[in-house]
Amino acid sequence: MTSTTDRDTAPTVTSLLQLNDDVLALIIRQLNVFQQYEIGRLNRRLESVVQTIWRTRVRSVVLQDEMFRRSTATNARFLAFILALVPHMQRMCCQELDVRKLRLLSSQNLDRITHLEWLGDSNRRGRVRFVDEDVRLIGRVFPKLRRLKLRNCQITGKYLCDLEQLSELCLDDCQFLESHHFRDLFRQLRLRKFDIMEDCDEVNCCDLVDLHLCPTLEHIKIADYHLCMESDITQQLLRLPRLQKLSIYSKNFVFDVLARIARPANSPARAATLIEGFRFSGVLHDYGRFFQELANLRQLKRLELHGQSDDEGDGQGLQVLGDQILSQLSNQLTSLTELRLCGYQLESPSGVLEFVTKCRQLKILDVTRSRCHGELFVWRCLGILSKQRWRAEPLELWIRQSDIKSDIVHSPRCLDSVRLLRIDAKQIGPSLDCKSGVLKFIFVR
Amino acid sequence: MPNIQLQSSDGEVFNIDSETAKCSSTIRNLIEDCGLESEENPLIPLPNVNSTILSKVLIWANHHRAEKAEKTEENSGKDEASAVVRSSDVISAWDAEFLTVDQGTLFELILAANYLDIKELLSVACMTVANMIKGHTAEEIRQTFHIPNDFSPSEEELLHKDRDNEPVIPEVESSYVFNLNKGSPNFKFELDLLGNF
Repeated sequence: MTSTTDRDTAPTVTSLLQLNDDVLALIIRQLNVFQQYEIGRLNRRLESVVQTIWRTRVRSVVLQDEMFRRSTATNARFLAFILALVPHMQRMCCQELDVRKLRLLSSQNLDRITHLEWLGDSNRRGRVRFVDEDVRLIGRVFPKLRRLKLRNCQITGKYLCDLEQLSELCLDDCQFLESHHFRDLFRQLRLRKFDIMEDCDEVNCCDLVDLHLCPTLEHIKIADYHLCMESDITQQLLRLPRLQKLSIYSKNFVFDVLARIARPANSPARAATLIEGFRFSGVLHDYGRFFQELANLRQLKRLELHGQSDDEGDGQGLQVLGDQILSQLSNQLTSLTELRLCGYQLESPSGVLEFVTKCRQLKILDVTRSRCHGELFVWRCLGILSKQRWRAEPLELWIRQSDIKSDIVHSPRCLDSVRLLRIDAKQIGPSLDCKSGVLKFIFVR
Repeated sequence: MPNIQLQSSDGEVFNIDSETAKCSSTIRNLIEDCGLESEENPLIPLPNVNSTILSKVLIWANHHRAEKAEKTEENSGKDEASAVVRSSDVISAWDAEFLTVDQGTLFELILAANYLDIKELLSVACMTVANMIKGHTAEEIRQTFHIPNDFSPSEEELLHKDRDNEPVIPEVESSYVFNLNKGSPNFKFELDLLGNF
């Protein structure tokens, strides 16, 4: 082995700037965006690297107070930082940022920004809370705003109707909203999405009786108490011409909500026939009744139910779905193309397999996180499919995290039957993280 | 081809098993593209890496190969979904200690990892430098890393004009008077209480 002296192998790179630009970019990308700005002010080369990063990586920016605490972030420096970001930024999220920083922008025009989230700090009091005048400020500073989310703000809703370009509005935990401001909001704005589902204070909540005045709405997210304030607005909502999704958070009145929509008292069955997808995640104590109401949605094509348990991993504590109620449901919902029963304990494979027998258009059966009696489920499913001569496409069976072992995919019997049944042990369903207690209806348009 | 030889820029030769060496994409591609798989103990020159740094890189590679083998053995009986996934945002205690070196050596390790295309080593080393920057003011960073100021006086003036002009935050009076005694809205709510919910 050749010997070397310390002199020959002493480090030759002693300065950060001796690293190449790609490596500098790797380092700088790990800093928050304000620190990137600060470091760019030290040296031309660093400025160039920061600009290269910003050209593609700061379309969405999150600002938090702690980014500015330990630095020499004067008001002027903050303003200069925002103005430096503006040519690249389109979406801005302010997380518990001091509202006085937002007010520093009051004489600016940031028309590149189309999405704004103001996630307020519930601990702030007095003059540092986000108030109605700050909504006016937003309208001036961000004239092209299309999407706005406000959380934990002390607003009444007075000036929201002035945000002319707005198409999506989310009000989260805004507990001082006043109902009479919503009429103008729904009449004047061409909203496509309206979300007031989260924590908008049941006691002082606002009445959305005028929601139907906004015919452009495609996606509505509300809570169950919004349906029935002075009057029942359910049917008015269902008649909105462009409605594609209706999400209703319900802690205590799931059956009531479902009955209002699936069994409309005044409207003919037309409303129910327009619903092609339904999703629910949560704990129910009466699945029999739940399925009874669901069965009214005769044209349902996609059904997605997520059970929840207290324990994780070994399947203990999962809710049990009985064969009889599943079999009854399969008699009613024969148009299903996708069935997702995720996170349940099946009484036996029979109940779910009734859907395979009766739903001739069924393409996807998702039992992610469920306990289905293991391989027996698969073999019985294959037995049914092998008799379905009319079946032109294989049924997809999603088994991730269920009690069906993933190596079943390689078993000779499954390999031979791949034109009947395609088992997928990797796919995650579309809404694994869906919020508990939300009934989501998807409409045919 | 169980072993290969790596020659540093200063001529030192290191004998290493080929699977460990292949943690470097540069070396792996060289072996595959030049058909060295079939050779006995091939010698690969690395003109951009000196022996001090190369020996450290090999210590890192050996440690991580052994660690990966241990984890594969532990997880072999488990479901794929429950396998432990290492977060790319966390520096392990071993890596942190490994990278506790002077700045010069740290930067040389970064350049070596970049040249040898060892993504994981490059990532943790860059993270280490980033951590040295976080939480410090611009002047502190300049001093720590000996960063010269090469802006012209006029550029400096533009950059620092914020020093002289501190904007005033406009006062905003809330026009909202929150009445704590506001009565509950009078709403009709049809309850179906037959359900056990």
